[in-house]
Amino acid sequence: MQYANGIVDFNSEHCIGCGYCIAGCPFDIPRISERDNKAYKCTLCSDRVYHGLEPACVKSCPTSAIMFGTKEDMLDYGAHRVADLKDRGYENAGIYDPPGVGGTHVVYVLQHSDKPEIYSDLPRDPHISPTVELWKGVTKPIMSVALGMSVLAGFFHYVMKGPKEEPEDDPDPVKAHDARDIDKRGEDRL
Amino acid sequence: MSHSNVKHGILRYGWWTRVNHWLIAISFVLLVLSGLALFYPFFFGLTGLFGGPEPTRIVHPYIGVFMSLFFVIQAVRFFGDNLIRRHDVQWMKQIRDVLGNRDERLPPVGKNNAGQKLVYWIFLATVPVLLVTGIVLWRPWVADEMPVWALRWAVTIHAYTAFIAIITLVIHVYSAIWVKGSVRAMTQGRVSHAWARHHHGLWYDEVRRKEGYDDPGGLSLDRDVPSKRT
Repeated sequence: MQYANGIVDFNSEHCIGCGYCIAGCPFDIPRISERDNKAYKCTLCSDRVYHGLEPACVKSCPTSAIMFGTKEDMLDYGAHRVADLKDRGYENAGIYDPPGVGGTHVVYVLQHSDKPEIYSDLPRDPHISPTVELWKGVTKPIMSVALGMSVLAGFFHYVMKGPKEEPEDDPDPVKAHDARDIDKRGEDRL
Repeated sequence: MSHSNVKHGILRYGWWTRVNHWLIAISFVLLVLSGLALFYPFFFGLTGLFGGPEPTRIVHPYIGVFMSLFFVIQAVRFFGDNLIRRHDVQWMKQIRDVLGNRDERLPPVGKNNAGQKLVYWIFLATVPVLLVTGIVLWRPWVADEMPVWALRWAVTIHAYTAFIAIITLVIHVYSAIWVKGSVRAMTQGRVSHAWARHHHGLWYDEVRRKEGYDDPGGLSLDRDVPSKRT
């Protein structure tokens, strides 16, 4: 869920621990807790932010390597840092804010933004996986409707064509077996 | 309970076959209900049947393993009856006659018709896929050890395969409702001679032959029938 301040986090009360978020995340971030079997990730200290504080990592960072603010401010600040790095010879310096996922809420200034893999395997061009699209996209309603249709198809077949009534034997065993004799006479199936 | 087939009919499914079938059937229905609940929020309400969303997630894979065990037993026991024969191809070509209830035009078939055999093979193909992909996704036991790409493929394949299996289940259940006498065969075991001959002529002949009635106009199988012919 997304809070009013823009931070995205799990609502643990609703989490059932299915792990679909792990399969869905292009960055392989969420993990299921071994203690309560619910999904967790960085909360960006949404509770602190709610009370007007900055996230704990920002607060405790001794060199101000981590900054917190509106995305606009952070991109501005990042642009300055990129320009500075380029002056110092890092030709490929840039901001990591991958457009394939509509940008991220945490952005990085990288010296070598042409090689994001060297920074703890940041994906080069992250997208929602096509398998996730196959599984979560139009598939769900289409499959659900198809299942419903198959049941209806059966029902209406019954209404239109009716059942195959059960061929019964005569309840009187003697008559039944005589009837079978007559049935079989002249048959060459065997 | 006092239907004449139950006493005088031909045994089509023995007690273990029936028990085995219904253990699978009950498990399968529970798997469908819990699986749909976890598949699409539209079906989320079904989690109430299992005591809530978390219990649903926990119980689904256990039911799956339970069903798979009995499915293996059934698949082995039914194997021989489901090999595709030439008359099955002919039967399938006449599927319009089958659906239109023009049974008299159909070729005689063995213990199972081509439709039943197809159901057998579809389940034989889908259940192992569901089992393997389901185990990959099993939390907390397995999924944590799996790479993300494996989880993504497993969850996708699991959904598609389940879709095929559920459609097949719908067809299977409808067929049982449609072909009168087949539900009693699977609950109480026996079918009328006329039913066997009408729907599964080759099987009927074979049963009669095995019982030692080589004469095409042979005697009844009923032990309690006073023999009028000698």
